[in-house]
Amino acid sequence: MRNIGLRVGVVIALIIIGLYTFYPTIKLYTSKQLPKDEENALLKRAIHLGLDLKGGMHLVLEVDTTNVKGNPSDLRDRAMEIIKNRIDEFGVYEPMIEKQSSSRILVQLPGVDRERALNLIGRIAHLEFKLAADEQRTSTIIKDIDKLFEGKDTMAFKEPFSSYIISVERVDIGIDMRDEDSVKAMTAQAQAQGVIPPDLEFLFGPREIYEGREVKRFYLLKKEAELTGDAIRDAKHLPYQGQELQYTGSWYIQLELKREAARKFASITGKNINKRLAIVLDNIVQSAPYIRERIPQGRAVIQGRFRPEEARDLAIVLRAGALPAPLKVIEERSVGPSLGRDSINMGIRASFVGAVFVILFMLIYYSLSGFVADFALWLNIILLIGILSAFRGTLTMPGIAGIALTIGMAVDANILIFERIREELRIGKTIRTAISQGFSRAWLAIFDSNVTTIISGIVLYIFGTGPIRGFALTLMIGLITNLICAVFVTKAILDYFTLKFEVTKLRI
Amino acid sequence: MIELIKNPNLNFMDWRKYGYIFSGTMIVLAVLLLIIRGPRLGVDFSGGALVWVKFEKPTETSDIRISLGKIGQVQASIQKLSGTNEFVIRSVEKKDPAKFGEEVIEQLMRDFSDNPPDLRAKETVEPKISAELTRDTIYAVLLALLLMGIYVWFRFDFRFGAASVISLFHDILITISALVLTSREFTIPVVGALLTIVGYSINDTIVISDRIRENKKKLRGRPLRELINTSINETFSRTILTGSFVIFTLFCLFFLGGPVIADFAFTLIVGLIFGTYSSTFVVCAIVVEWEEKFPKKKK
Repeated sequence: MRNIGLRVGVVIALIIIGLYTFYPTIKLYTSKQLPKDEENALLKRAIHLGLDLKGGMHLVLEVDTTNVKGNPSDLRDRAMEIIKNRIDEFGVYEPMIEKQSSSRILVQLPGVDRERALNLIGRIAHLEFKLAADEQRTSTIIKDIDKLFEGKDTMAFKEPFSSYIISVERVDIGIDMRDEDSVKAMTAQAQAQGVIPPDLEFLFGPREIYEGREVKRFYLLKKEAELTGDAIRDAKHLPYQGQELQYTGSWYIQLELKREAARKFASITGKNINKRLAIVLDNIVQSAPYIRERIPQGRAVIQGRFRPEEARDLAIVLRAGALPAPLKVIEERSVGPSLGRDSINMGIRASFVGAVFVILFMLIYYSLSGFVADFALWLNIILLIGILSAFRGTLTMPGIAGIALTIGMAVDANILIFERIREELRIGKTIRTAISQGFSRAWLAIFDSNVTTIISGIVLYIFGTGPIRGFALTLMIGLITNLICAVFVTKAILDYFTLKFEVTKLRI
Repeated sequence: MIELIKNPNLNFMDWRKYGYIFSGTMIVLAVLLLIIRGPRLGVDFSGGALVWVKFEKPTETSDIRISLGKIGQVQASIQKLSGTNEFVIRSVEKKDPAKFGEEVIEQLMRDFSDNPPDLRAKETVEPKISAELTRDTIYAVLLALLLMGIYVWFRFDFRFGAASVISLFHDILITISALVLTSREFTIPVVGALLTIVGYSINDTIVISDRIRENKKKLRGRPLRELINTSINETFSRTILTGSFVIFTLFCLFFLGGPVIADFAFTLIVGLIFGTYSSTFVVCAIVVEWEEKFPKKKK
């Protein structure tokens, strides 16, 4: 009975800590509309929702080193830096980008548009400026390819090469998408046989619809790039203001080159007037404008029919630089926002029903003492969520189940204690001795069982990922708050009341 | 004062023979089930892709199959979540799951443009990742079992430690077979549930063992079997009360928690029932058996 004042003081302090750390969560998720800065301040202190509740994507990327020289972990570090920059510019709230093993990167992005995010991360964004061969040379080479396959009409190459070629908007040549495989096979063979000179190559444009067909333009370009993406100082996305109908309403990218590169660009453009300079992104020809005059200021545009968000993402990617090697998505877990919302609602409803039942039962079965245990239980839940928020822990769907299990464990502790007190009372002990013996005898069992569950929690935390870690964390914090609430708080309150009101009959 | 169970005096240890028959049958059935049917592995452990979509308007599995047929995916498994307009599509081919996922989403968006599907979730796991996950999971479960055993050994004695580990294997094996029986998928959350069962089942064992330790002093000289029986009886009301509480909470999660949590809750329910049962009929029974065959020297 000693220190009862101190113990009650600690209980009050716990209540205050619990409410203080729990408040931002309640405030954030119950208010409909909040000013932006207040919302941001609350977000920092409120409970953090996992990807499975908020929606978002979890990606594990692996650096594909098959065609790239270099140490995988160096490539990984560089790729990670670039991805970080891209994501920072894209603006994701609390992204997580981490190293995993020697060649892997873990990326977690809450609540983003899946496709855009994938495009932003996975795109290599290797930009090259390449000069095009002139039209005469191109048509000579096409004729040479025709000759190469003449008389060798195997199943694969029945038609002459030139018969696949169609004219796109008069200035360009292209192919129908259905012929893509044949055309690619033919050009590959032609390249190997030296019909296409080794310093030139065919590259395709993006897929587009032209006169009701799916087509791709194609170009004969110099293999060696005049300039690459390293030359870019800045990239902006801007709406198209010009007169060409095909670009109306679309956006384009304006590139600004670094000083050195701008000088080089000026000399290239000066020497190649009336030739075409193709802008190639990840081996796809974005556009191939004619050089009409020398361009001294180091400015270039990528003209494409970009949607505004597409243009914005492309500008981000170009500013952040190219990835040093391709990245492969080896694991993806995405949860749409709708499923996240449903999960929260259902999880909370289920836990709530469970909690109400437990609380009612405790009250009926153990009467006033049950009420004290219920109080401790609420404090437990509030402290658990509060501590989880304060330590930036994440609440996941299994985490909600973890809270429900914690409730179960808390109730178990109180049942152990109360059954014990009843036993002591039955053999004729006084109320105060019964309480004190009940607690001390039940304590070891409660402690041991919590410790073993914490051991499981630690194992889960170490081996688990994402949602499971959330579960392990809630379980561990929950079991510690359990020891505090179900044992310490319940006992302090029971002691306080039995002492203060000279209780002669314990309602338990 | 309400009391559901008043001073029980049941002869649990005399019934342990029935326990052996029951547990033995369950284990044999479980092993047979595992061999004949095998566990249904989710993409976490098998590798592959899973695409979960929800349609606005009523849609039939056959419509989706036709749509997927166009991209050569007639074999993909399509599961309609009962009572909803939601479908879970899984790849059969394990190779290149990312591509499968993208193609399926693209094709569904194209074919159902008047009834656009909402992407609820997507999981793609390369086979090499799933192999790693499987290995890590097995290690995690074994490690948890071992740590539990060591803890019980350290807090009580070696016999209880060993018996606890055996009973944990028993609980996990039966729970897994219940998953196989109900064709539930084996996923990471399910493994999380299995590890929780490990903690919970041991919890129950500890409560009884703790009583035994306490009664050892009180009832000096009595045979272990009687000691254990008394202890089980003394903790019986707690066992039943707590057990029914937790199970009720889990039923709430099972019925109200939505599809994501249902399998998780199911695993816990089965595991909890067997975990509670095994504390008495496996752990205590083994310890009693052990003592009767190889009595400890009296100090």
